[in-house]
Amino acid sequence: MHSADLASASLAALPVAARQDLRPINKALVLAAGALLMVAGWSISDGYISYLARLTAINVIVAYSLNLLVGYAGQAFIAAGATFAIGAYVSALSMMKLGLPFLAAWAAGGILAGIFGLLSSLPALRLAGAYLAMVSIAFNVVVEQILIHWTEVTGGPIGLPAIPRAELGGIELDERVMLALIIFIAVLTVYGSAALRQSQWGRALVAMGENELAAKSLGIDTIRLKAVVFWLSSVIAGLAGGLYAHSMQYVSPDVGTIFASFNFVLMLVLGGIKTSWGPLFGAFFLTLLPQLLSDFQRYHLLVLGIILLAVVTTAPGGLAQIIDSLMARFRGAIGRKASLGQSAPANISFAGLDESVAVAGHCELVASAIDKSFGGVTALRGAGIAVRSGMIRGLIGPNGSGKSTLVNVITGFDRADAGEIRFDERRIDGRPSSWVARAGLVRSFQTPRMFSELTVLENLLAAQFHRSAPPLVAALFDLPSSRRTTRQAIEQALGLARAVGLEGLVARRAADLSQGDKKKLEIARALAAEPAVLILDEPAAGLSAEEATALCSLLERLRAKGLAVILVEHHMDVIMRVCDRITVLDRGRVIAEGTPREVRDDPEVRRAYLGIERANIGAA
Amino acid sequence: MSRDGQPVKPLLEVRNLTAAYGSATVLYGVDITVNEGELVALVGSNGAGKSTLLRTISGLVSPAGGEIMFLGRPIRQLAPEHITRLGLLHVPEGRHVFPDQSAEDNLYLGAYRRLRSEGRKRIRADIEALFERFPQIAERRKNLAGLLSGGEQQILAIARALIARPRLLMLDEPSLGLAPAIIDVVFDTLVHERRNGMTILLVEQLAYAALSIADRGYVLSRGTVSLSGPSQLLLNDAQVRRAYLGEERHAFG
Repeated sequence: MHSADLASASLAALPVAARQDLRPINKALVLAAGALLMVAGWSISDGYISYLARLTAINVIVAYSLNLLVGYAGQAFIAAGATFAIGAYVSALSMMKLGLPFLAAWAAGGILAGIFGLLSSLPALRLAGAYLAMVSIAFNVVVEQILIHWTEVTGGPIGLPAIPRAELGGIELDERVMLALIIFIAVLTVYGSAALRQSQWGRALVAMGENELAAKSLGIDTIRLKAVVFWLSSVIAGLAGGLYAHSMQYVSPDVGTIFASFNFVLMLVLGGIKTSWGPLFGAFFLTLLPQLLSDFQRYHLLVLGIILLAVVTTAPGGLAQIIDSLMARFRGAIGRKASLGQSAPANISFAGLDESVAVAGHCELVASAIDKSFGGVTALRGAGIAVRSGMIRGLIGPNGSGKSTLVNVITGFDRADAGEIRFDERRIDGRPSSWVARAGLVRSFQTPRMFSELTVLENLLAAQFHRSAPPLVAALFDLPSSRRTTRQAIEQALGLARAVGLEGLVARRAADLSQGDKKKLEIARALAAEPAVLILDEPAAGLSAEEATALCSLLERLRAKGLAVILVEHHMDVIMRVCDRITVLDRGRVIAEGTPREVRDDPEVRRAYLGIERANIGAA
Repeated sequence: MSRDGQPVKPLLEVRNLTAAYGSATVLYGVDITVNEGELVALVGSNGAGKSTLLRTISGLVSPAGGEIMFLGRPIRQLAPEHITRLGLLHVPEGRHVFPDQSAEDNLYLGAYRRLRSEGRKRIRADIEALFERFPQIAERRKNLAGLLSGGEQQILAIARALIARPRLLMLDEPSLGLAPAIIDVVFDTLVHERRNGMTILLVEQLAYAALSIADRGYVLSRGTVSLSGPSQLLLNDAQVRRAYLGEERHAFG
């Protein structure tokens, strides 16, 4: 009870822009709009208009399923036509050849499309971007060829005519009821994808799409997350295929060609990828345009090509961007003025820190005798480092001495050639990076790896995904448990934003932060993943003297709370002030280890790293 | 009059410059001048708009208002590559090396515009001189730049800019992520280049170190120039010392 009150109070304290991203969806409005659309659909008696409405609504469903996978999750898998065809054929054949009732047949189509989706997620574990797109085209071609050549089952190039209509409880659904059902599923899909985007799942998906390495470093299990989103997107597209088969009563391999897939992708690009209304615009546009141009069929593709070029070159965000900017112009300058004062000065406060950082139990990390080389270049030779709770371990050395490589090896981003890493006696070398992060070793990156399109707040929320993911069903339907996890995550995120001085910027897109603020967000985000061992790679680089001092206070507080910290840094004042012990690397070897004073006075360290004069001044 | 007794010629003049990212205004009417042969330091806290100012001058961000004159001509409307061809080179934050080419080839690419007029021999001599100055990248000259450490990439990006011999070099936090001993080498190099006639606009978080080698300095805070003057004066200004130099002096003096 108490924590819920706190959470809603903190939600009210958020800047308007941040609150808008997190406001719950108005379910009554969705229900009313959905009901209205269904009645409108039901009342259509004209056969041609009904056909267009069914086709449009089905394309809306597919476009939104693709927005989850290609948009939010950033996976360039573009074989939605194939998935759609699998759903359509399996559903039709299950009724025609196996005699299953409609609901069972429809579900079978969704299940098989889901299995196809899971299979397609396998190449995505290794490939991304253009390579993944190529593989998906190959997948699509395979499905297309099976549909064309397995004539005895699929009917070959002619396809399956006379597919039975959908029925419920033995009562056949006529065109009007079928349209209402399709509209119902379309509204559900639009609602579900909006709810998912606003949940912790949505933030994790976008985080993975924006920066997979950073997502892994925060403990997000990207293998599982990819499987889930491929599966979910494919099930939805497959179910849309089933609706198509039983309402059009005819399918041919044309629905599953690579060109059909491109058409779905085009809906997304033209409408506005990653936006909440873009897929809707795109689906309407690309379904209805060919009908409007049916008198000029020869020029249909030409017109489409010109429109696509015009939209993509003037508004890469698609129709949604064009409509957004028109709306903004309509609303006038009021909105713009309100958001001007956002760059508030950094007010650093540790008030919320105690609640926002979990107290770590005792732990110890020991890496020893680590060797690592990259194609002939030796980065580490027998290097080692150790840290335990309540201790700050400095890691210094010349540029190129292997500091970041050691961090990469410890956190599972690189695999050591030799040596062992133990965390509380348990071997963790060879484990994948997201596993290591979930075990409690969280690192930051030297060059900030932001989830650029997410706000500062959402960056911090995404980092809590591995601890605070609601069940997928709760996220899809915006159930109370999903909203509760978000509220609790916000509570912690705000405390951390305050502790690093980013509170005034929580609603700012991470891409628009200054370099120094990005570094601060890296630190806060690593803490949001609740580490036992916090590994910071040059956190003070780009910070002013004042900010570096604040960083020192933060690190001292974290140490007092029992965190173990490994600090890679060149700022010698930071290192000397906060470190309990320091390890010095040079050319991949440990050349010194000891207290700050011992290390500073070490002649080898002075020669290799500090330079003689500087060490003298530092000692004075 | 400059220190050498030559008449002062403004190379870069920025007047009343305003810039914004979307709805957030970052620069509010900034005026700065960089004269031929000067090393000018631009300091200020994080988010003050230092990087945005450089990005606006080099054409990466289009300004909302104001004027930018380089070599006496307005460059506000020009594309970034056009501005670079005029001899104004910007080394942005974040080590933008060509990762799939060797360190040495990165340097040759930096000298791309000099190759035709001066020939490969001259360029090679200059590259060898740079390698001598920065031995840690000389050792890795045949390695792909993407495999260099963060700090080594930073040095490579600076070296690649130096080899281009621009009329005006704008560096954004060259010290970022460098070991203390290397920072000294980088700053020494800038002093050396200035002595050889290069004009430099230096943005640095290490305000003390930057002002120590600069002729003049500007302090940017919240998108406007709050202080400017000869760097010795700024170094002794109580306000600057308190706000920007802080404890840095003890570590980097």
